[in-house]
Amino acid sequence: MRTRRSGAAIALVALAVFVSACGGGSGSSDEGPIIFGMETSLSGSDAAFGTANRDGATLAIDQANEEGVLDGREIELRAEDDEARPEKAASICKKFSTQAAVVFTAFSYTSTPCTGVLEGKRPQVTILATAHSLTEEGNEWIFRIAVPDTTLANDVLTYVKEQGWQRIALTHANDDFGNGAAESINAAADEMGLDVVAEETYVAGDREFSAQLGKVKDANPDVHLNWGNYAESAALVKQRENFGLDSVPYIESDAVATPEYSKLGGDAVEGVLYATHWSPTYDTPTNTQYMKDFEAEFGHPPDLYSTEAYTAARVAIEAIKSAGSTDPQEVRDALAETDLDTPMGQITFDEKGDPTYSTFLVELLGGGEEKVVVGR
Amino acid sequence: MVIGLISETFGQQLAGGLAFGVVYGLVALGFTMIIRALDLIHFGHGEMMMIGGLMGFTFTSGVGVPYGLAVPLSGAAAGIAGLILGLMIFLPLRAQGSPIINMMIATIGLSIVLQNLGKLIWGSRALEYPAVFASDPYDVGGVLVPAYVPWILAVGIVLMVALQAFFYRTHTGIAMRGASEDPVTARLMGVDPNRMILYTLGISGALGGVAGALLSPIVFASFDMGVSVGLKAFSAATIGGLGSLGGAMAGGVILGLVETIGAAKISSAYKDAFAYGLLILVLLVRPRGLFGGRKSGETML
Repeated sequence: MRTRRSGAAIALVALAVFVSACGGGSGSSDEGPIIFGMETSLSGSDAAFGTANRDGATLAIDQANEEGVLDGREIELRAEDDEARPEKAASICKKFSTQAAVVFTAFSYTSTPCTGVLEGKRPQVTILATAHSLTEEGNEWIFRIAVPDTTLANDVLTYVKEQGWQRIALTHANDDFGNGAAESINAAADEMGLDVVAEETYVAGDREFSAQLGKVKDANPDVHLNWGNYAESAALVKQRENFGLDSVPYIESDAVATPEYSKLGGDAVEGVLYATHWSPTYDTPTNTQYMKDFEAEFGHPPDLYSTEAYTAARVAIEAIKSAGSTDPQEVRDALAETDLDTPMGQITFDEKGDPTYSTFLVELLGGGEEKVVVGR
Repeated sequence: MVIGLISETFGQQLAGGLAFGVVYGLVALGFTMIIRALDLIHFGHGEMMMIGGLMGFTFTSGVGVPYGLAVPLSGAAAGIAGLILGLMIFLPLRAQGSPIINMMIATIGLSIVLQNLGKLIWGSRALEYPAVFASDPYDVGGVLVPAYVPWILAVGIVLMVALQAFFYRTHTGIAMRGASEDPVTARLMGVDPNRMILYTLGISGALGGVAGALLSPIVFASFDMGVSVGLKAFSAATIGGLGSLGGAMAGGVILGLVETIGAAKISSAYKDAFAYGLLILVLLVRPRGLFGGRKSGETML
């Protein structure tokens, strides 16, 4: 009896070792496919982003593989679902930090798990994250595609000041995404001499905002800024009218740059402004071509999240080409030197790994239409 | 309104809290009924709300049924689901003489299975209902009341009255009360306890389903909508007194008001903390709940 049990246990352990050895790191060896590991939300409340991320990166990778990247090696995209859960995201990141040539992170959108990868010393391109803290840890391995919230806050408040709006009401999600932005907005407001007259928070999954909206109303603001995920924001924008706030100018974060927001919010989204990193109406040859290619491959136009992922993948591909290898340090150095024309504009990185381009401010016109109010 | 005492904004926030409280109450009623009939805490009961919300989405946005009709239909769908689960899971477990703790664990698993089924069939994104309520609020003496509030209150009142009539004036209702109070005697009287349990699961499921359809135009329907509301409704049932039907609805309303008042007057970041804090407070100070009496449940309703 005892021998049989321990025999089975030994067999299991051997099998486990074998399997993990098989799954393990071929990302930066010199043969086999070049692995792009992507951690994103393919289900849960962020699902709209995740599938868009995967599609955008897929397009860039397919195009690159056709042209050839490195000695006939193909790039392989491995996109895994973090189910909008930090623990899951962290474990996916950990896995890719030994397996992948470049790690693309998205959950970092609410920002914490990203930082756990940085120990792996693999180049990490974070697609969606705007929390400024990510690039302030002094880590040289992380590069960001989205405009960080410090720049977003500055650009948004510059617009607010130009409009002559003095009193700002701020509602935001109580997570790294919302809190990071709130910090930046408060700092920018101080600098520009604007007043944040109300600041209220909510958590993911919260869909009833009478407490927050009541306080916003009582504060009598000139403009209402909201920084939270799209489902919560859609519920909030619908409820504004209940408090007579629909006449107050309203600016949302980049989290609502998805058709889901307009679908859920219905008529209430008309006239809403939002800060973002790209717009389908951005009129450059590169963007126009990209949008055509995307629609041809996927049957529908791209949104912000597919575009950010496409750009992230393009940046990584160019870095590998320019480095001529998948060695992590060389790829990282090549990434730092990026100077590339993309659908999002010309992209270069500063010494923190943040992109140097500015914010788009877009107005929703209803019926799925939008127009750029402040461009790039 | 009570204009000198409450600001207009506060009155409006209270109205919202009241409506949500009624919705919590409807789900709490189901929890309490199941506890009375089966001595069971049903951790999957929140998913009856999910079924109502998701089916309501299919009825309104998919098939084009008017909302007023979709609400009872969604309730019926969830009720049927409750019956099926009773037949497939709860009755067999009882017949085996399964200890209650096993059944409770089974309901935890059931909750996860149902959520995943919901995700499988309806996807993982939030689903919107067509514009149901007027987007303009009603002006009640200077207080802007969101359009959904009177509607939810009306449905809540109607259902409470109907349940009262059912449990005290109809044969089946009286039989159900008898069977949960004293199954042996009930059997001697010719009442089949198993059938009563099925009715309980069906009715409580239907109540949950209606709650889901009522809430979805405001919070959107999704596979995980039953989780947090289910937990709050369970707290509401506990606050009201497990086993008291009137207590369940009262507990729901109290919970809705407390969390709104806390969020409005103290801090919106701690809204959930106020809801659950109230639960802890009640359990410490009056463990049988505000209206809970002896297990016979002959108290408020």
